[in-house]
Amino acid sequence: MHRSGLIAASALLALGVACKAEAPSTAAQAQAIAPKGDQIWAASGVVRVIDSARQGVIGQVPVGHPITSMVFAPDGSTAYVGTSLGLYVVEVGTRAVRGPLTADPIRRLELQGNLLFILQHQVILGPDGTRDIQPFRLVHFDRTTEKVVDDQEIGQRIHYASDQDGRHLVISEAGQVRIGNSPENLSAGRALDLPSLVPGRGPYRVRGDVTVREGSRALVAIEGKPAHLLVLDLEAGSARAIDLGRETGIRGLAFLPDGRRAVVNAMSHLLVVELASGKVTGQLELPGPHVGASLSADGQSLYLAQTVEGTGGAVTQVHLSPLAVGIHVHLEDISPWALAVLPGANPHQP
Amino acid sequence: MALRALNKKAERLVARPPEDVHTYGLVDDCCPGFAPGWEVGSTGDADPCPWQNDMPACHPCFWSAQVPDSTAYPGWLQNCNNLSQDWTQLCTVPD
Repeated sequence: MHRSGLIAASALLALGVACKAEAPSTAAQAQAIAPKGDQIWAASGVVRVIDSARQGVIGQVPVGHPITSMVFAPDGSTAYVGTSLGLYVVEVGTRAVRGPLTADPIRRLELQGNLLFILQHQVILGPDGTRDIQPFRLVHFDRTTEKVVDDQEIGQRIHYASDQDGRHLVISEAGQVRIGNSPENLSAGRALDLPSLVPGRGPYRVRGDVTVREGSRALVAIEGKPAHLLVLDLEAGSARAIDLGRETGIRGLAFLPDGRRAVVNAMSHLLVVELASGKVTGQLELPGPHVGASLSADGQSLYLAQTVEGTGGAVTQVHLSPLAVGIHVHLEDISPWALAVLPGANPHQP
Repeated sequence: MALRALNKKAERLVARPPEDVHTYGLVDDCCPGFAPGWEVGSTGDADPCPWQNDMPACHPCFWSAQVPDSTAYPGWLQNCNNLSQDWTQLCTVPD
């Protein structure tokens, strides 16, 4: 199909898909749930600051380079923004931007305590235009001193790397998942035997970019026929795969606050999965395909980015109990592909 | 004109169920594009999502629409804050 046709199809899809929930959910229920007062940052190369209570944009942060990842400090005072030019620090109150504090393009940021884990690599452009692709590195950035305290080379084409509590999780673009422990190098570790974990002969694809980690627990998206959720216990060194029972792309994951369940952004559907039993216990149809999954400050709702909606993009809220589509904020001027929700109280709540 | 099996080996090949691709997790390089494009519907159905919507999510691997490889070109979205309006500025990867 010609691109213009695809664009038209995208717009029609975005406008034409109705919100339809398979779990108990109606438009009336969604209306009845008062919007939470979250502050959501939605980003492409600029950040749009959204107030969910006002259901609109209340500000912006002009970073100026493609944003790959955003995390907030737990107290909500500071945002760390990973870009193709390095790390920027934004004071949330004033939205003043500093940076770049690092020099290499960033693929992913992850925060644990005072440590910011930065997955980055550099591409050196030669005088003849050739590109020397440097290996990926995991940088430990102390956010209190704003200094790099550790910098470890991993290897080429790494999609995800994390070193929380000295437990390693490294996922390559080729879909290899390695787990290990300090002090061994991040490039070492044990590769999981995925064909034995993911049954069936159909194609599967490990989406390292759709990985969520909380301490020793991690979830990794595996698209396939059917799609799976890889559940990792990095302390025990164990892994199992939950069959999601459908063929779907996966564009976002999040643990729910109860620790027992997780949500899966299956693009046009949201799934709730009980991790112990491996059962899909809830499903909600979304108004169009979305990426990402960011929990609200109170853990009661989820925000997803719709990268393309008409001539812009959008952010959609989903209430988790009961499952229902909440507010939907259209962004006319950006295509949001990175999301973060300010923790704690929204300072702009009316 | 449809191809027709003319010997026993060809008949066996025709009778065999088509093998599906199984590469993403097995090759030691960036994932390849599938034909006709698994990312855009393995069963021939409508696109699971608009291609613009999936572009940031599909990096860094090439797929059938040839999303730029963000490993080699980390700034490929530099001039494209709005995929619907700025997409013509994509895909201009220098030689």
